[in-house]
Amino acid sequence: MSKKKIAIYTATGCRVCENVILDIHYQVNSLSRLFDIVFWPYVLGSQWNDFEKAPLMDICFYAGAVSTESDREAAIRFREKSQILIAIGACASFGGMPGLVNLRTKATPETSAGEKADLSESPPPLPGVEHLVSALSQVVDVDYDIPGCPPTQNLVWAAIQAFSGWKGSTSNLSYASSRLPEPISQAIVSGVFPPKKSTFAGEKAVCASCSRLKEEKKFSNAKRPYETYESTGRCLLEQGLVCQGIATREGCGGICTGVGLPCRGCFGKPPAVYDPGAKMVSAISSTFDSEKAGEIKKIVEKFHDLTGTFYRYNLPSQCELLRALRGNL
Amino acid sequence: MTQTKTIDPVRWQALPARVAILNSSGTPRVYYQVTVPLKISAMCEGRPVEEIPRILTILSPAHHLVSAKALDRLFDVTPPPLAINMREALLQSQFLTGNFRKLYFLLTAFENPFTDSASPRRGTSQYTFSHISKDIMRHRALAQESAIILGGRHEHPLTSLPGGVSGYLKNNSYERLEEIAGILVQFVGDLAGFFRKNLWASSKVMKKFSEISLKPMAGVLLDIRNSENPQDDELVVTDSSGKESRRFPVEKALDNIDLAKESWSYLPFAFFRDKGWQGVQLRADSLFFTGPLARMNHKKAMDTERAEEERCNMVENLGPFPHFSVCAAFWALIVETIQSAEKMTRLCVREKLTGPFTRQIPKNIGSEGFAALESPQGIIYHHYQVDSKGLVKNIRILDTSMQNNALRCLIAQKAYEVSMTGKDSWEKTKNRIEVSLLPF
Repeated sequence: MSKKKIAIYTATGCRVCENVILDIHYQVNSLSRLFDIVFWPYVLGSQWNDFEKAPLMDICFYAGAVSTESDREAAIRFREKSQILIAIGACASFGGMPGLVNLRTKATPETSAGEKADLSESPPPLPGVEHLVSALSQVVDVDYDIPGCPPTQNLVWAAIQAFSGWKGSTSNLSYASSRLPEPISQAIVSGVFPPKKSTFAGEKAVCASCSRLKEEKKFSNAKRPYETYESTGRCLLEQGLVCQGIATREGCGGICTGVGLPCRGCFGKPPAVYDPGAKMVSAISSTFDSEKAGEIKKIVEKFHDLTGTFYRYNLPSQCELLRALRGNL
Repeated sequence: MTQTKTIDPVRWQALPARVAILNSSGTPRVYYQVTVPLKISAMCEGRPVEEIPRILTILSPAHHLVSAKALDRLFDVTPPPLAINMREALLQSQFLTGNFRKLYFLLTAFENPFTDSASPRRGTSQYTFSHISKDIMRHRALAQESAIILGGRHEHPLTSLPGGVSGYLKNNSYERLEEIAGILVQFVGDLAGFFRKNLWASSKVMKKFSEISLKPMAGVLLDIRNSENPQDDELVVTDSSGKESRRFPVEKALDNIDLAKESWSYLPFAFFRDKGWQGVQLRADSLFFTGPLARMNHKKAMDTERAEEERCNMVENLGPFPHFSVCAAFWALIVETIQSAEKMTRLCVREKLTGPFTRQIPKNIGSEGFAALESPQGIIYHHYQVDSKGLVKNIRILDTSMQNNALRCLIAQKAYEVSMTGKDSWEKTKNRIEVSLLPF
């Protein structure tokens, strides 16, 4: 069986998703046994010319959000030339942290402008910046997602197993694929592609895999991570911290809560949640330990920047209100 | 008519970038263009300030640590020694992972990394570039593991909070850290030996890297006068001979360093404010650089024994400091990698990294916080102003990418000129430019 041709590219992002591919199970060199890597500018120095000349790609991994004209052009090129297009990382899947700029109503200069250099020729132009940052799926049709900021190495490895035609025994299945939804795990074991539009992560919320003790207690005081809270294994939300585990898709194994910090939702919302922000409002307000308006108001006043917190990684694509507004722009 | 050649995108760069070479008047001009705007203010303003250490890891893992340091000042808290040591160990892990990746990339310039080959033992004649590159990745994995133990995640760490870190190390985590440090310190010695034997001993390689050298330029580095009191930190400016020309407190960083914008790059250029912006040109005395080579140009000796031995090897082969060549920049990476591995082993003492007291809890929210840190790539500076609720009103960041932005342009120009003199093919020219940009 011939090796599948793949392309990997990062648009507006931090390269960490590409580094995760580079680090998969620390066996990056063995990638060549599974794939024919045709286009990977970050590691191989491939140029867009190479991509144009190459035949149809089997699989394209697109990381990063779409924030410039060249990001959009890259997304379209990838879609046109790939049989399978995979959004890798929170930026490509949901818009990621670069998507927070969509909250900004007025632009202010990021730098002071120095005196311009004396140029005898017109300098090369830059790609234009888009009005709003988008997730890949808002620009082109995406076949699969590998969410996370960054995606965990075992999920990336599971995706590679799934798409490389790797046929191993079930005992060789990684921890990741055993935690994946059944259709994906079975597809990997069978050596066939998982159902289109699958997400390489769990189906439940992070709370399902978080090891912290949940006692269903109510809280009477909201806290911020810099304040004191129990370092024991008690649920962070129940201690009054805004932890988004309840509105976030599992798959990471509760990395953040495991080190005593609240989840910020980098895996996006689970399928059962319509809007992560709305879910969080519902979850938090239902645990207020008061029915008096004045007390509730005091608790509410301790919450700040809920939009920037609830939609830290997914504002462009999973905030239903903004999506509706955007549709009318 | 203007002829344009482009390298789009440029390999190994942390920010998406391209190189455009314009030749309209017979004198080619090379532009290093960052093609994506950072928009840090738009991302951070309005956010609770304690979230910034998690958000700005989008720039590099070390931003987590400098941000935590700035928050210590903003909340007026002093982390306990255990937390300071854990943060320091995390920083050294970041040095190791970052430098290993760059050295891996350097080796991939000589051999395609995606080739299968058996792995002979280190030190044998069959041990080639592809074998050492695999070994580097294996040991990078260990450095990553230590970063995960200390920071929760290696690329986007999250454990540092105002006043300390979020949790203590369990006994088995500490023991694993100790084990990793021991393995890494052994490996970096072998790695330096491999580079000396196979790269620096090759006159062809030395020529290739040494001829790409800049006109001597100023450097900026951080002087930590008292590790327990970051308020005493100062930034030191070195002149082109590597000697200190002036220093100023960290809080005055933005009074002395400004950022200029050019129409052809989204990334601003750092320059000395008192000299004024003179554009990206060799004769400009307002430009400076930062990072391992800038640090070593000023240092009299390394902080650890084996790193100092390697520094002496470097002096023996390249001559006394200061250096401004690509070859010296790569060698500086190796010296600092050894130093980091040794520092990790020094930190791996049970009394330093274990204990229950990891945080001093802040009592009040201040109004302003700032800090600087020597990251693997050079100086990073953060400055925040917050409102009474601790929400960010104003944020200013000095990243290494901005400070070395002009240097990258000048290096790309020089590499292209060397290639033109040697009448290199376009493929060779592209490779030369990309390799020259890698160590900075």
